Amino acid sequence: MQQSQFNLRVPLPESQEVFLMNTLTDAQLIVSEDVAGLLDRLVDAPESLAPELLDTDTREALVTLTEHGFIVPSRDADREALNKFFTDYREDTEQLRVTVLTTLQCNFACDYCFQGDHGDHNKHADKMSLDESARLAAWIEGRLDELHPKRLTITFFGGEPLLNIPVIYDQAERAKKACDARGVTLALGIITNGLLLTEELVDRLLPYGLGYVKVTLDGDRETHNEMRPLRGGQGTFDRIIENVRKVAGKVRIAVGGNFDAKSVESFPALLDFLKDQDFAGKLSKVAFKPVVRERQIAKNIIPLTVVTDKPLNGTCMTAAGSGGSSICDTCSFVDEQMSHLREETKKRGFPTVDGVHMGPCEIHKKHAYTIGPNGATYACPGFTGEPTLSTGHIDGRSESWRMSAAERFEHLAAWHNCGDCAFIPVCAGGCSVASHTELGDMNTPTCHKPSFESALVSLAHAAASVS
Amino acid sequence: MAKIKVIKSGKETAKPQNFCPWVIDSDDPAPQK
Repeated sequence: MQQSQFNLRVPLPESQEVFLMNTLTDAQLIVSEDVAGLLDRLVDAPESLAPELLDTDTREALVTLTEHGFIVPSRDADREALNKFFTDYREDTEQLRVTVLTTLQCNFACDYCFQGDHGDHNKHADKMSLDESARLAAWIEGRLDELHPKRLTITFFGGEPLLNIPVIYDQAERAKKACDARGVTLALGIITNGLLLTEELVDRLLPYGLGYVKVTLDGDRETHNEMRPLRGGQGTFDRIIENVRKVAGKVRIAVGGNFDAKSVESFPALLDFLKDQDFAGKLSKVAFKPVVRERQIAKNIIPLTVVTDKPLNGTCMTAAGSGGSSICDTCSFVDEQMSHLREETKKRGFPTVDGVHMGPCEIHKKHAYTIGPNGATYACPGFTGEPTLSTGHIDGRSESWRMSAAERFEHLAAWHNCGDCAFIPVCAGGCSVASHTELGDMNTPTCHKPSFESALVSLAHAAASVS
Repeated sequence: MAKIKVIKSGKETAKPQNFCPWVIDSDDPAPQK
């Protein structure tokens, strides 16, 4: 018997207890120090744990630790359980997930999006036609009949998805009909810049299963307006806030935000502003993440703003993945800021991510698809900027380059390079998009271990405070 | 004295799912079993 590789612990000195977590089973315990000591004895003095030497309490404690996954028969058993976990996650058919890029056009000119207001991007950017939408709906029906999932989740994304509302309505109506006919639950979500968000849209989509709308605010009013102006340069903050105010009672509203080295300091002011709004209590999630840069640049330069000569082919830059990498000098900056903003968010009482349960993400799910406006399929929204990484097409065309890309994603397992890190089950090697765009290899882990570690401490103290 | 408080069981409860924490940061409520 030995300790699981996936055990984590946080001492709680005030109560002379220890918070234990196993990331594979997601067990979370608060134990007395002598119980945590039993795990050490497994390593240091296993002979002292012979049953005949133990009292009833200790024997029961060992049984409980084993039941929750903290003690495993061997390292091989741990590895086997991890492989099973990823296989089950990948093959799971309970849910079919489809992210639909209704258009690659955008009405914003975000500071960190290279398209910005440059050139005539919108004139040429793809937009899904109603014919393509009908073909997509038929493709989704095919997947439903193949998988028999309990739930279909469609997320609308872009570009700016609300620049193509007819396709959103079309997809919602067709999906609802298909799901009702098969006894499948339909859930819809929209990730939008919020400018065109209206009550009419929400009211119309609620009966089809609209579960949430996520809008993006990149800092306080002044910073956001600088970071996310309209293509004509006008600010967008006030209108987004007013739109959110109108729909906040009707549907879950999540607020996201992308920070970089120059904007990060304005986020606490944004949180204060949100806290003062009448809809503050209705926000379902507030969470911020770093802006990506597209490739590694020289050391000694804070590389959080996009440095690229290659726009994401129209996909919202929000989809470019996270900044930071295992080899970058400023990772600690990103991790520190993510942790800091998470704590600031919690301090103001907003629901947010706990920072520990970050994955595995949908790229590791076989039955999760992203669909571009022209019907090409992708492994996740972050790869839609690279048509050569399309994994297929809804018209079923068989092309060797797409099959080859699909094969690459099928075997994606960056965590194989993560050694015996205890966070593998909740991280899976990090964001593959960031690995691909920043490190040039989607199988190289993008490591944010310091951020996980500080989040774990927070989780432990939160558990201790309610236990 | 051995003391164990179970905050979250590791036996049968579903893990929270976070489908896209890094890229689009979707807000799907985690399916609970």
